[in-house]
Amino acid sequence: MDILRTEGLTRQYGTGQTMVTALDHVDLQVERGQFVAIIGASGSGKSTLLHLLGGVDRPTSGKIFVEDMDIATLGEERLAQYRRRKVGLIYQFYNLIPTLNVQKNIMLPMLLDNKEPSRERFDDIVETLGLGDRLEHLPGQLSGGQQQRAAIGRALIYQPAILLADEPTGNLDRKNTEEIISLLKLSNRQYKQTILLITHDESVAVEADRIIKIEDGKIVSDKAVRP
Amino acid sequence: MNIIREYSLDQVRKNRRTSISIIAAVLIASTFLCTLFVFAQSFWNQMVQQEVYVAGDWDAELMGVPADRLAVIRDNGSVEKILVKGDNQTGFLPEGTALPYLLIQNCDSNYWDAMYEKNMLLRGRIPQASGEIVVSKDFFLQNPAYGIGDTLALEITSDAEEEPKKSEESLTIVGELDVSVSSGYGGYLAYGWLEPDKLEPGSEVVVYLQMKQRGKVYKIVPQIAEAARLPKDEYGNYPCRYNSLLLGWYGVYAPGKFFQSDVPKLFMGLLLAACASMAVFAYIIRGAFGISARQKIRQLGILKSVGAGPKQIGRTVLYEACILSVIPILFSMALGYLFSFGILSVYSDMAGEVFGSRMEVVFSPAAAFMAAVISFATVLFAAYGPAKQMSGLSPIEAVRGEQNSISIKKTKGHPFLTRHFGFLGEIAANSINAGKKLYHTCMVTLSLCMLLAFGFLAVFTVSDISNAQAERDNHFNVNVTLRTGERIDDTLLAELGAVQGAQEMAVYAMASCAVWLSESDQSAEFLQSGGFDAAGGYIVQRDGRSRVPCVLVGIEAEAYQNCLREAGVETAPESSAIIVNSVVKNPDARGHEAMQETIPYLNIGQGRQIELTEKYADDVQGDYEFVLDVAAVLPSMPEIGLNPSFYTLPVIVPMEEYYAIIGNFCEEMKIYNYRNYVNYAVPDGMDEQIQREAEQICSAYLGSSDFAASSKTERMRTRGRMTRATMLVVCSLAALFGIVGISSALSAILNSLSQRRKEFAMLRSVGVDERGIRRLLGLEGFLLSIRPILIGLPLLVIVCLVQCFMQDVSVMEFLSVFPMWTLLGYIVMVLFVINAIYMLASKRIRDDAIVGTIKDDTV
Repeated sequence: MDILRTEGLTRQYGTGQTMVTALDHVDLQVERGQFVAIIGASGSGKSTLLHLLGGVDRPTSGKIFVEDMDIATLGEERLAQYRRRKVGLIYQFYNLIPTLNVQKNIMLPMLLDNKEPSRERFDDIVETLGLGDRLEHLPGQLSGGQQQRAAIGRALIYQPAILLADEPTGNLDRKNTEEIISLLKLSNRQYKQTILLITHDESVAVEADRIIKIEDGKIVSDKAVRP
Repeated sequence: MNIIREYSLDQVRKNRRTSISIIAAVLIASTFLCTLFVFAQSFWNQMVQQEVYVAGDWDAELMGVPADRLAVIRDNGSVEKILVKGDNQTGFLPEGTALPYLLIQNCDSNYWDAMYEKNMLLRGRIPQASGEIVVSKDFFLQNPAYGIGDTLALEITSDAEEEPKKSEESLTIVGELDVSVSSGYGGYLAYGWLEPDKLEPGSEVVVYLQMKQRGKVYKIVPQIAEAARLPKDEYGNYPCRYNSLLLGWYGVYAPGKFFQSDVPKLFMGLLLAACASMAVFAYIIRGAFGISARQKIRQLGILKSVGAGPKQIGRTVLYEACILSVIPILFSMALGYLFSFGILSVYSDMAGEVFGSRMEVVFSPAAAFMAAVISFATVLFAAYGPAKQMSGLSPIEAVRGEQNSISIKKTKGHPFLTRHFGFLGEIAANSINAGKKLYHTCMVTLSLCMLLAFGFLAVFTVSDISNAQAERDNHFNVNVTLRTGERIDDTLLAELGAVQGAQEMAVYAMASCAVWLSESDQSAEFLQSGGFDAAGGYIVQRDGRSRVPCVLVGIEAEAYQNCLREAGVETAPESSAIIVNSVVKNPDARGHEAMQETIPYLNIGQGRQIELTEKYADDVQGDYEFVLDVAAVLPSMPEIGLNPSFYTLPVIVPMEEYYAIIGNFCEEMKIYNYRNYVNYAVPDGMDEQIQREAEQICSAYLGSSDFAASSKTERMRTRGRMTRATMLVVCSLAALFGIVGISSALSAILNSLSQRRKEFAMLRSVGVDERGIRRLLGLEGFLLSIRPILIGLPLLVIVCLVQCFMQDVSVMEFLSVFPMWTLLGYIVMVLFVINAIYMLASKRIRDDAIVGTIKDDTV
């Protein structure tokens, strides 16, 4: 069953002679619980695709259905709600709020909804991420790997149906890269979350169930690695 | 705590630079508003106190009230208090006194408490019981044998009774009052004590009312007069009068008089000033919030990307506004008061010498609260723009920092800078252009600071030149006004005429009146210049006739004869007048010289009769009409110190004729028209001496409030004091703008340079040395500091030119007086301060490790 589907998804930047088509009529279906790796050269459009799926950018044309809801038509408030509850975004450069401690950074999507996660779930995530002794620290006091784990915790806290990771290991060393990929796979298995991961690293890509290759804004190959 | 609130609070704590810049802007804005309110409150208070001091604390006056009806007025539910004066008596002074009578007016305790006479006490005290009186100063001057504490055994008659009964009374003098009465009355003015309950039933008194609800005074007082069965006058009005000036300060106006009063205009001006200041400050604060919001745009992008809605993003700015404004607004209440106190105290010291009284600075919690609410509303209004802007952010662009980076879409050619400074010159100019949003606030405030201070200075400069020109045109350099409300004593005028040292002296009295004329009465020249039709509101036209405003001028008999002789007339019949038949050819002409060009006004000649009326405007109560024969026609106004306004026809009569005519005018106009104007032309340097002598003579005859004297030197000194006092206030306000400008320049420069650390590191990495970086930064600093001057200077020039044009002052004349060196000093100071900030702020950039900064790409 598809959790995510795009129809003719197009994103263009600029106007006139300076117009660039970052994504060109992309049709894509992702099943619930699938771990998808998206690969491609720099500027191929993979990050644009992820941003459109994450609701942080709007398509020029086309549709994006998430659990049969077209997020391209949502108003600003509903779209913000979608970003809080339905999707978790992980960036290469972590993008934590530097003035909030780790605990609040992780809980941020729920706090924005004026909610608090259950103690059990929070402890579970923190234990899995290995951040138990870093909760009161500010992001600036953490290593890159720890910051990325905090960012993953933030993406997981609402138990969103989809995790979107934009080169989450691009800024990390080998050891931290392995740890982060293990965490994502664990999350995929344990919470049945659908994961779309952008990477340049082939060793990371092969950990996924399916690999999609994008070139010049179009899907040029879509292979299942494992059933 | 709500996460958005917590985030905002954290931001305030962490971003101290921008927080301090916002706090400074809010503090100064609310201090300014509080100052404005304290000033308005103090000014209002001063005006009310002054009015009470000069005219007494009462709302309405009922005249000719029979004593037996006092209770009807006192017991009226709308009346708070009544003040009673009357039961006038004449005391026959013992033989040997200069004048034979003591003219006694008796006042009750409420009257003495609330009315102005007690303020005229020169010595002693006011009466506190029957048998005590205070007497006018001329009594002591003319009868030095008497003193305070003396008891006079007098034969007294009551003025009210038809057949006055004489009685013997002992009156003790308890004080001396600075009042006078015309010697024509043959007596000295005195005030005694009155017990309203002991008044004879037949006696009449004047009753002053203090109302419970001032706002209803114009409606209720006629009802009270009706209830007291007071007779109406010939115009159908009850014998009542209102303290309209004091009521006006309380916001109470007679029906239809609201817009005729100056008070609403004054407060409307104040309201406009408050709104304009709010708008300026809102713009300044908005700029400060804009800098703060742009600084954390990436974080807001992150918040938005993890699900913060537009409203929540907007709220971060608004919460920041609340957090940063509460303390400065509270603090500004004290600061505003202290600022007002300081400025107004100095202002009062300067202006007090001119006005004769100091302004007391009043702090009212209600005014402070209102200033706080308006300041808070201004801050929220100012923050709303950046809040809305932030709430509409595209999360991904914000996260990438695309909306934060200083980038330019187009570059301008800077050939001059490129030629002299190479590519560094181009970088500097483009950087300043690219960061112009950051520098908006400091540009606007520093330009405003310059415009405010020097704009006012330009206004005063032009006004000084204009006044000096007017003084040069004024033939008479010492001017005395006598205003007793009755005919001026001839002996006083004779003494004033005998002052030694005056080269020339003129005395005149004047009364407004009008004449109804037809089209054919206009001279051919006047008709050619537009005639009555071109006079706009000056000349009222009805039923084919035109009401031409006239000024009836009374001059001394000898001066009148001289005017006749000048016109070639030897003798004139009784009830005749000299007409000054001249009108400005082009009243719209701006030039001083052009205004001097006159043409014949009317088609009028010797022997014609002219029918005048005292009803020169529709709201003048009296309608006395009088006919005068034209004995002579003069082509220009004789030099007596009177310059009638446009389209006003001067009708000159001998003083005795003048008094005979105005004696028939309605009471209100009659009192005003008894004023006499005495003008002296004296040699330069002697004007103050002559002024002092004239004052000395007047004070021997009149109360100090009954005359006013001024001289050219004194007027110039007064204007100088007022200019200095006003400039003090203006420069203090300009300094406030300056502080906001400097603090926002500091914040904007620090932010801009912090955002461009990588750019500078890159320049260094490609070989730009320390000297080159210094050169680049120095150039940027200069380009930044020159902008407020380039914005402010043309505006200032426009203000100066407009002022010169309006007051007909030549540019050279203006430049010779305008303090150019002060302006130059200000420009140098702005250049120095901004460059100093730039160089200090750039120290970190110059000290940065190149590799570390280039790598630092993610934070």
